[in-house]
Amino acid sequence: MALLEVADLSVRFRTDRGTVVALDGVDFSVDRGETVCLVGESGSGKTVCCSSLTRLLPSPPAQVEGAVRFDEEDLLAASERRLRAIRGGRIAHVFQNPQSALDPVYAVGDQLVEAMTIHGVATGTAARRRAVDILDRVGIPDPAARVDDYPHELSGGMTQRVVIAMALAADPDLLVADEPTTALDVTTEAAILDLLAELAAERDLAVLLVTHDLGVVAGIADRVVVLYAGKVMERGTVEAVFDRPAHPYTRALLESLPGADADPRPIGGSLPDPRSPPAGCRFHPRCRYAVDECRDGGQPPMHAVDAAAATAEAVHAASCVHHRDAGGGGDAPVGRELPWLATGQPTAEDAHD
Amino acid sequence: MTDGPAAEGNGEQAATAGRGAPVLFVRGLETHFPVTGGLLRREVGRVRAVDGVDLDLHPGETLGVVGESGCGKSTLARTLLGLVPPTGGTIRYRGEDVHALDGVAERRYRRRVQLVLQDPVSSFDPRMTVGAAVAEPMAAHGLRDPARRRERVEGLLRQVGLDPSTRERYPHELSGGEKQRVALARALSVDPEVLVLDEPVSALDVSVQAEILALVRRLQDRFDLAVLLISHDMTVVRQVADRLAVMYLGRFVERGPAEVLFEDPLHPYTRALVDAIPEPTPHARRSSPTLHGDVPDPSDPPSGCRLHPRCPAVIPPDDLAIDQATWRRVHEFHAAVAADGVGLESIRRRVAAGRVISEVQALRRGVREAYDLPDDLGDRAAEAALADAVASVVQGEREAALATLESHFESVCAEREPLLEERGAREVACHLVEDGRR
Repeated sequence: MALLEVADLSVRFRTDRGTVVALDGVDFSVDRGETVCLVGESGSGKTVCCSSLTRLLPSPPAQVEGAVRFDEEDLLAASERRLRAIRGGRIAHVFQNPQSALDPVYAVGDQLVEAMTIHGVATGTAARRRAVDILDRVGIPDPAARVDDYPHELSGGMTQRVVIAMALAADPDLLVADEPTTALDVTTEAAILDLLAELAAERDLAVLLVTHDLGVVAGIADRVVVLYAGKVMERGTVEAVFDRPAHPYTRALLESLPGADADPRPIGGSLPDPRSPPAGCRFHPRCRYAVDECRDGGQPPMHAVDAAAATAEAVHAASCVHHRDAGGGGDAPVGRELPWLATGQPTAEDAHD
Repeated sequence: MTDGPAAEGNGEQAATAGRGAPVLFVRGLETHFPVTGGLLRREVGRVRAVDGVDLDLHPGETLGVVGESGCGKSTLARTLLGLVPPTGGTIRYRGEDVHALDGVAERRYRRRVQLVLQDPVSSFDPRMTVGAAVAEPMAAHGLRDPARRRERVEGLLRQVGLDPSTRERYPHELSGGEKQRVALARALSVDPEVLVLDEPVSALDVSVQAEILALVRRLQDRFDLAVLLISHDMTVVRQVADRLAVMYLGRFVERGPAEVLFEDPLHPYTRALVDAIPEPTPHARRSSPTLHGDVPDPSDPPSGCRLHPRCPAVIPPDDLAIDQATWRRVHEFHAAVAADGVGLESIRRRVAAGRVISEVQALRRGVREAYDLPDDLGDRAAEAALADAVASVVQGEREAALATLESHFESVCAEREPLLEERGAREVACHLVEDGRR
């Protein structure tokens, strides 16, 4: 069993103008030592998903259903006291805007010491020594001096390193990072992603990383979960999802990226109103390959894209009717209605090296 | 009107000849902010946010200004718009000195040069409908007939790809992309000639960025706008800019046609920015970043070429026989000594545990480890000098260490500031190019 298992997770918000379904039956898992990326446009439910793992969402108004099992413990059923120990202790969060994650009136070292004291990792001078060590580990130059700096004395990249240091202070098992590099320069973004990858490998850390940027995903993910309007559209290993995107939404996201050769192709349209999502596949109003079948009923089930290669951990699956025959073992090519997959080979623009 | 610029022009002239007069003509622009301190709030320093910038902007072209946060890009935009007074240099709009404008002429300038900011949320009054927000600049600039204003608002909304009924909605009902479309409609409402876009898509999803940038292109063609696009993101400027100016600590370090700079960046800073563009494929995982550390404090910019403490291609002294990677680390150590930031305390802590040799020896080794310096540089004279400098650092004699490093490891990059020089279609300020090493 994986370290984190999310099954059939749904989050609804009751508002004056109807019920907003932010997340609707989402399944995924993250194991030790692997990095899983949740990717999708703003409003697809990524952040709600992260915050509901440790019940950070105030409830009410949020209604959270389903199961979040962390190290075999159901977090949705856990007591508030138990959760306080887990948050920041075994599951650490890193948010998008590092400046707002730190208290401006305390030196960064004091904040690190506080985090360690609360979680019973270390106290007093031992905690302070450990604070300097962690700052050193996350790449803060001259940590013995910077430990006394205040957040405003640090650059954006350095602040995010400090926030990552705080997340690591209690030696967590799972790191949940919500758009950790979106507020940073591209040059700094690369360095922070490298740092996260190193830490994950070195500490056998499970990382759940949320981003809207497939460029980030390509650089760091082991596995990818594509979310759209609260539903999982596609999941698979990073190679499978980038080389053979099986869902038209994933394909559209990839095409919207600026590349060196082709002009980016906008997806067009926008996310549906979360109070009244369309029937059928949620993406059908924006989908170039939608057929009648996509327009009624519920979201199609996850179909395995390549049944032959599917293993329990790394199954490549898509919630798209064009893949419904794939698991049947027939001779028909998978996803034959999707032109870029019709030949069964990556198309020219998908081919690498 | 045209002879003024021509008489004063220099470098940019060759690149822009035959395109008529620029709308904006900027020479030697400086925007410094005083840093005050003490009881009497005396000036104790200056943040040189913009420190000698020349640029020309022509109708129908997009100039992209790129650089990391803290390079002075936004201050440049604000200075051009007259929101921050320059401390030096000239800005000419259609040949007239902007600083000297007043009354009607100043109002006209403010109308002709419009700004769109990064954060679409904070640029709108939450209690004002989209229609009122788009109409507001028109009213301020003298279009008083409400019926005509309304007609124009609807026309503008259509131009930016929104339904005219959006007029009645409030900002919070719009997505980030829609808000940015409204911001463009509002900027266009007063018939500007110049559009300054400061990180216009940074707050948007990547998938929406392309749509907004395509819209900017379309509007520019239709209205023959001169666009100054400011971004830290090379992928953004690549989609729209005709020309590119790369800014670092208040100065342009390279500029020229966008495709030339993307294809063959000559300045190490430009190259680092181009290399940092994430490849959207899991098969080309990024190599480690080529720039070291962060943008330094603009109130105390490094001597010589401002990039030298971070530059991967910093030039070694002629007589030094060590490889570039090792030299780069020696230079980094040198820069740390010069900035009084070696971090001896951190190193002392690190070596304290498990020490079997004397403290001085342990510290010397610790300093070398901290800067990734090999036990022996291989070049005898250089090794002797480095050992000497490390010993001085460990004894707390920073001045002596600095003197030793300076006499043996002084780079031309730290000594002399390179000037923008023409190289084919572009201009670049780098000693590597000056010396013909590239």
